[in-house]
Amino acid sequence: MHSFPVRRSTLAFFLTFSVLLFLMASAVSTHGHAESPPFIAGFERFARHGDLSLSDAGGLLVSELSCAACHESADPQLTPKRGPTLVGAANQFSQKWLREYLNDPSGKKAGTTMPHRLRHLDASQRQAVVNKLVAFLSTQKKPFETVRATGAVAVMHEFWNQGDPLRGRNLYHTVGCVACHQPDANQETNKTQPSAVDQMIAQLDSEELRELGLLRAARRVASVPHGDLVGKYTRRALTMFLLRPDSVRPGARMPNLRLSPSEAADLTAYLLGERMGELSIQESSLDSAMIEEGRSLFVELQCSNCHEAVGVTAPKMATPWKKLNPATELNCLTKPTAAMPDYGLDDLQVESIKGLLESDSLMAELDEAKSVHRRMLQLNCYACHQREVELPDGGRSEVLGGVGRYRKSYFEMIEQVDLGDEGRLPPPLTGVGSKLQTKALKAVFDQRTPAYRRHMKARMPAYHASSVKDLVEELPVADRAGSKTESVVFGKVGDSLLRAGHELSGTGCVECHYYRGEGLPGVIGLDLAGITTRVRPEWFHDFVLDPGALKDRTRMPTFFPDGKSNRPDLLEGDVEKQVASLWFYLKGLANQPLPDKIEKVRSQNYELRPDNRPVVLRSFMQDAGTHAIAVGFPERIHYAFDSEKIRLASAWKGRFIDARGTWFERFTPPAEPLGESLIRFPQGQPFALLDREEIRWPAWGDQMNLYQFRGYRLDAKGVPTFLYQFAQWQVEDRIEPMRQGGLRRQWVIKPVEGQMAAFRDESVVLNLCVHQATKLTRKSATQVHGGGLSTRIIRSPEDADSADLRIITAEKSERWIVPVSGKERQTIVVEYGW
Amino acid sequence: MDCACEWKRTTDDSGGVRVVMKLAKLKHFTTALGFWFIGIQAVVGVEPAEKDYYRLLSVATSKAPTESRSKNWKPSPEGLPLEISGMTFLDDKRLAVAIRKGEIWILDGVYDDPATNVTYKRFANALHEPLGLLQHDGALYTAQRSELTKIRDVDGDDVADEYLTAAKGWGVTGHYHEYAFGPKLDAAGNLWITLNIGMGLKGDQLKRAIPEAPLGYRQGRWRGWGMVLTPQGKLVPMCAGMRSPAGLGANAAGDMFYTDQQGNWVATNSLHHLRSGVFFHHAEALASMNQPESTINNVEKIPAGVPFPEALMQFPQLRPPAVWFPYKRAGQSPTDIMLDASAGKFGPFSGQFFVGEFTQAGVNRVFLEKVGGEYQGACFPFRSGFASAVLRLAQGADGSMFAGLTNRGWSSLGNASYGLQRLVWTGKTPFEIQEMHATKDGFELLFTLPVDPKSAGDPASYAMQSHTYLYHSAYGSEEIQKQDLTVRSATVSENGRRVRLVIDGLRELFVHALEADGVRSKEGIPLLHPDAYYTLNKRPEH
Repeated sequence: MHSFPVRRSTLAFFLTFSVLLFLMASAVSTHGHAESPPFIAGFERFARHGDLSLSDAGGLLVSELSCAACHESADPQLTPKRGPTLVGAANQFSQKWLREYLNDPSGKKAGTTMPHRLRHLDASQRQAVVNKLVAFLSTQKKPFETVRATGAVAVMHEFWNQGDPLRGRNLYHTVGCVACHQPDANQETNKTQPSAVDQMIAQLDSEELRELGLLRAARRVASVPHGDLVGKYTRRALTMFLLRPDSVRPGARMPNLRLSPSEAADLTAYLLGERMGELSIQESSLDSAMIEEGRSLFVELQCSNCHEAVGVTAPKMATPWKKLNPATELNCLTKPTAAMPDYGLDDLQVESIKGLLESDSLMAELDEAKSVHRRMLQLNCYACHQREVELPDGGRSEVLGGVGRYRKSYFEMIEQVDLGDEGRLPPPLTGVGSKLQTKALKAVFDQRTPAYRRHMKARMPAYHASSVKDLVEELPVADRAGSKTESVVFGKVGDSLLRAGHELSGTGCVECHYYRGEGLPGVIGLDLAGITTRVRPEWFHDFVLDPGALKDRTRMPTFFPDGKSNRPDLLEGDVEKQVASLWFYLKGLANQPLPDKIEKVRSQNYELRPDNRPVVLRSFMQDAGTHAIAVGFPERIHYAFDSEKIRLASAWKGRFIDARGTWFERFTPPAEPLGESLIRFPQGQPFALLDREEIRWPAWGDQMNLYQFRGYRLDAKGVPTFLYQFAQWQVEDRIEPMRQGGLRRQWVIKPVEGQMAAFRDESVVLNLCVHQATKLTRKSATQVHGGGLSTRIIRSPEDADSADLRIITAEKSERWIVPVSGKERQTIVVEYGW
Repeated sequence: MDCACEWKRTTDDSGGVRVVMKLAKLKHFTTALGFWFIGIQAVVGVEPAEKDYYRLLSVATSKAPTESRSKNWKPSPEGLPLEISGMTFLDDKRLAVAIRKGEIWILDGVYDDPATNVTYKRFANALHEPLGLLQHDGALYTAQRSELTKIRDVDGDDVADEYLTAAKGWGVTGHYHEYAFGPKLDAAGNLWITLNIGMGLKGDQLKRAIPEAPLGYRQGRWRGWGMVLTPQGKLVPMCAGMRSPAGLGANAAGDMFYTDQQGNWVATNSLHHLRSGVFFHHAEALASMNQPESTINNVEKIPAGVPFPEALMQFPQLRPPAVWFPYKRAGQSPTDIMLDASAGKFGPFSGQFFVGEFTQAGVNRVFLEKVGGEYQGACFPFRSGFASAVLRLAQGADGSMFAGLTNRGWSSLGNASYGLQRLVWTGKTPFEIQEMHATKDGFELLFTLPVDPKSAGDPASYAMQSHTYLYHSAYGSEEIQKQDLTVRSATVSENGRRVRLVIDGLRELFVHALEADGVRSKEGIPLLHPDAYYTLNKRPEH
């Protein structure tokens, strides 16, 4: 790609004294740090408060500090997190930042898990090594991924420069960033009423909290530090990182928050602020000797054990994990030599790792529950989710995790509806393995899965399948998921069950739930479409019977108090059958009617009701085609006119039509008549020019070019009169319901002025077809039955007598036709009954 | 970030941006210095922003409770579903809008700032997805899916009672993509409409396709064509090869143009001059080639998989667009075309086109010139940040631009689903490339403000790259045959408004992308938009 000069460098019109102060302040604050031990969220939150056993805490440190990247271990629980890939480092990070970071990792980024490798060197030696490493890293170039723009994804030109810091700030505080990272105390949040427990906690002192077992809930959860983002990243690099974190950090500790390109840019704009000019990533003079020395150092210093880079030899390993002797070989933890990484661990961290090494239990032998716990600590799932786990002291189970009381206010619903914490906080995960079907559990992590709890602003991050494979496999085992199939739990489906399920859904569920995208006004809740492919049949059964037993403080009430149904009229009040009926109804929801209450609301919004005046809808329709004009009447008799083939196509009684598809669906489904007694009118053109003796009525198309639709006019009552032309005649065609039922239709036919001269062929007669069917029965001179329709001629052309009303038969079809002299204005009136 | 500074972005009344740094929070540092700054605020200039020059006001915007692509899409429960698909001013005050559900409303109070007292009155309903609106001949005209309709109020109650069919006769197979757009009026009094191509007809739709159409294509009659209703009331097919011609607009001379959207056969978004007998890109429009009155005949073979300049040689009826809009860089889905006929009330771009942008929720700008008798020219980014997809544009009596928004069915930037916004020039002239003319050996740029001669006269302040596209049936095309060109010299005119660039390696029929990053105005300001994309179909001889 052609590279253009760095653009849009920010201009400072007034670089004031204040700005200088600001720059100095940043300088002071970044260099003024005391060393800080590595920050591992799960360790800080739980191990420091005794919620993890020493060896569990140690295990967490070993994976998060990537010990096994050097001390090889086959134990999957110790799989090292490793560091970010450095392929691409040359165009992602500022060299200045790299130098400062390598010079003093935890000084530059408090809490970093990267060990210091150069502490033993004096300033000038250190500088030399850093220069070489940076020279090597400047060879690690990789073009940024091109983000594909589609109709669904807007990608502005250089979108990483187009972010809006205000939107970014809002995203940062709502989508989930602040579950781990520090919120801005000035951020306005929704004023959600604190829960009763939180209100109580605020009143108590620590002794009281301890006595009440609320210490854990009262604790402030430390934030994962960002480090110096401003000095480190270009806008593009940070935006691309936020968009695809695992492309840089495959360890997935920073998860993918399903951001759109513009959202990633907004966050970048917020995180980097309006800085003075874009970071320039200048290529250092590529001194090849220096690069080569850097390359060797990269392996020698064991950087490559954790960081992917191009063109490096195999990593240098240390004593395998299993062979480490805790009694003698712990220098790396306490007093690292020049050849060792220096993590700057504090006492508890050292103790924890020692504890692990000294304990007999191998991590690999953890049961599934512990293994899940470990993985959730590593990925910091506990930042959002609560889960009951066994505590170290005597196997007592306690709920750990959750967003914590200081962060709750950042978790909001999309609208101000009070569903309590359940509606705004990420769901607790106790027993989730026995709730979700494995496929659904897997889908939760998949980037392509649409959000399930759409009422929440926070997003469940996406994870690459390999990062969560173990969780997906172990959760069901850990939570002792039942394996009963649908038929074992619910028996067999049947029509009566489906009907009962539909009825039951309408009694209570609709008050809080959506059904395939439809819901009652003001309701914000989960959509039950797809629920039967999401939760296990047994869980559904147990939960519906007694929600509170499976989920603490849920808003979901029971509809079976004391195990009895409050609808004894359905399925003989059989509770088991009723639960089964709900399951089967929801399973077939796509083809089942919506619950009545929802259907009613839907129809209020989209059903056209001609209560006082006729209502017109132009749409696509099955019978009236793609030029359909449907007209509904207060008399509850309606029809559809095909304005392409210029014919009355169908009529029906009762409810008129649903307009939602016509108004709001991209794929323009045909509008369906809602009522009953649908009658389809004969096909074929209404008028034809025939020889006197001709019996063959022309097929549609033969005389098509003689027709021209001219639109319609509404009279004062709102009744349309269709206007069209056939050959030399203008036709006004008005159809309206009769009080006694049926439709009355009137044609007014008159020659087009000045065109009659052309019509002098006496052998050809204008005819109107008023009925057609395979078999017509003449009831009287003016009434004919056939095809379910009865047609009565009320007024015939003035110069015609009833003998002129003839039935012609051709091609298995009988037509009742009326000759029209056509020389002057004529009126024909018929009545249709069916 | 450990620094406790807070940078705050605020918008002042004129829409200008000030970056204000709050020093009161620098506690640890200021204390150490023995100072205590309270409430000292420093105003720091930042790079010029679009909103400093063009202020975006909302007349009415709403967010739907469902995703824009949801099958269950629903409008906001509050107010009118103002998914604007057509706009025409009835007089200096009242704006008539068509909305996608099929109604026409008359809005008053849209010029108020803030527009808090807008009134809405329904004029017409029961229209099938109308995608245009024009006041003409004492009536409102709109293209529905199946016809061009002339709507009037006859009995004087301000509600339509006459829905007359002004023209019909194009195929409507029932496929959703068969939109009909328009009408707009050209200098000859023709009402133009454009007809989307269908995409993958199925079932009953196929029964409504042209039987035994040439080249084996299956499309309804005149799909992918531009048609006119002549002043004599005759519907005439004019030109063909459109994919999704969502925008129409006439220039000051009354010549009609349309925009097309990237997709099958359409390499990237484009702007075309509409004339009888020309072909644009989408080959399936040739299904109507043998219909009576077709203006395109005897196409036997369609070049496919060749660079566009080569396709032009193999396919004589094929004409290049006046402007290609490079994908992403100049939008993703162009819509309406608005001529700035305000004679300066909308800023320095009088006589130019503004083109709505759906996905990126913005507006791009187009400068056209005639070279060798044909229109060609350049497009420039103009304004982003609309609340939703921009589908319709109309210029108000005060010169301001009204943008009708709706993103249903697709997706767009912005936090609304539909509505009406208004873009008002602040009176401050942005530093922009106002015009970009092709010359014999390069380009001449006219700037809106005098340039700084040093930076503007330095060839290193400019970079140019040219490319073309593949002509093929696939969806869109990469930019191919890319070449970096050398800017040989840059000569600044005496008044500082014009710069003549001499450039090596110009290629006819290629898009020439200019980046003028280094250019500064006399005041030292960089260009608001340093990018311009010129479609050099023909090099002038002088």
